[in-house]
Amino acid sequence: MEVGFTLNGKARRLDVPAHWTLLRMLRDIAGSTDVKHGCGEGVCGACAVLVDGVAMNSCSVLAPQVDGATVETVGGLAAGGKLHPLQAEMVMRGGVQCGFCTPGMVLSALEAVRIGAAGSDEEIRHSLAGNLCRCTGYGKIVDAVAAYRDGEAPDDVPADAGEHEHRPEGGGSAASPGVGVGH
Amino acid sequence: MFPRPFDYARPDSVDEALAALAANPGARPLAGGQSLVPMMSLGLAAPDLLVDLARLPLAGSENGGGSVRLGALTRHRELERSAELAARAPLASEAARFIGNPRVRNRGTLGGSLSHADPASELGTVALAYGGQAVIAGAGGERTVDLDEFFAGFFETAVGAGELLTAVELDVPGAGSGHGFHEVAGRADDFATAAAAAVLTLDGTGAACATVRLALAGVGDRPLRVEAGEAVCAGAAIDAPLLGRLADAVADAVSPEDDAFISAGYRKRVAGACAARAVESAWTRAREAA
Ligand code: FES
Ligand code: FES
Repeated sequence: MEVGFTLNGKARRLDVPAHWTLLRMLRDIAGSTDVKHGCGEGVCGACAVLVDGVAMNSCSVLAPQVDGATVETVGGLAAGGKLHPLQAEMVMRGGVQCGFCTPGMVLSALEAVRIGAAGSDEEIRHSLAGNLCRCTGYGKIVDAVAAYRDGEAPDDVPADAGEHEHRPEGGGSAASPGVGVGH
Repeated sequence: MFPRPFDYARPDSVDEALAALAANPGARPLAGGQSLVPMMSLGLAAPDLLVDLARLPLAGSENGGGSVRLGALTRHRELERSAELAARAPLASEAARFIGNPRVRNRGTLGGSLSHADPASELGTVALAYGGQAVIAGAGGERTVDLDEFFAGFFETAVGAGELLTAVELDVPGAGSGHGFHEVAGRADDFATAAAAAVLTLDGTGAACATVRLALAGVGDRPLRVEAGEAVCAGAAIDAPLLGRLADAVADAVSPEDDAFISAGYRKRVAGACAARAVESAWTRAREAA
């Protein structure tokens, strides 16, 4: 069936089987591989996107359910070659290691700050429940969200800041830690 | 890890939805989908037809005649965050923040949760602790079912084939009453090891409890009222020794099963403790409000 929606500001109209999840449509047809497929059963949060501004697990939403909606993924956040301030905080404060949880984590955190559900570290943790991270131990993610909430984000962090930040001296060839970059 | 193919319908009215459900015995209604879609991905559900309720006018709430009517498509997030709903049905609001995680609460609905009837359902305890009516639409029109009769068994409710839960009417008591909720879970967004909801009404003196409605989740085949616990509280002033007796009575009354992680005996004790804490906060709130 036809599903018409706005993806990161661009109108899209895709032909997709009704039983496909939003996650599958985004990754396999729409090209949004910044949305991560973790558990596929609604427990890890890696696949989180914003639908009409509301965070949800795209593996637990069917593609037809976003007909007419506005979908934002982490790939739409960076603008003009600059990371979104929350992304910048995540990179600078070590909230990103392998990066697999980061797209969902960032979108969940953005929503939490926007609706006022990130007033304290405890509230941030409550708001990020269900966004699992196997690397960071969460502390640095909470710090990054708190700093973003408090508007401490450094202005001009280039979109490739994560690569420089994590690349060993002497130009190791490690891949970028996977912070979504605008496209 | 993906749902099997199914047909999909997105009706504009309750009547169209009912017709679609009645025409196909393999049809399932889809509300927020936060249980159903993962179950389909896991191969635990494989409906022939999904009837998406998104366009039906079943959200919203209103007060009327001593009860609070909540539309079936009221989302958990609205229960959790809307000041208006928190004022109307404070126990629902308090319990909602324990459901799943924020992404699940953003989409999941009251009617979907009650109809799914998970034994660990927080909102199941809310429905039972308030009491009231379930409003069920079917080919013959609407009928109401006492919420005490709503949960019929393991993932089973009074909603029949071809029917839809459209609203619940909760008997939310006014002055001289209080509510409490307590849940213990292994992780923040895990299913409850046990959860308890209590609605307590003071007697005329304000110094003792007239009645308590006490409901537990996670300790049986469905959310259930624990009358043995209610009886301990009726007519009494709630103090520490009474709460101890209450915890024992609840632990004795429920019969959970062992599972891979939690023994039945431990779950009973947690159930007792949850019940005692829920009743204690209901009592404290009722006394403060009096
Ligand atoms: S992939 Fe969607 S919650 Fe894990
Ligand atoms: S950074 Fe690896 S899972 Fe979070």
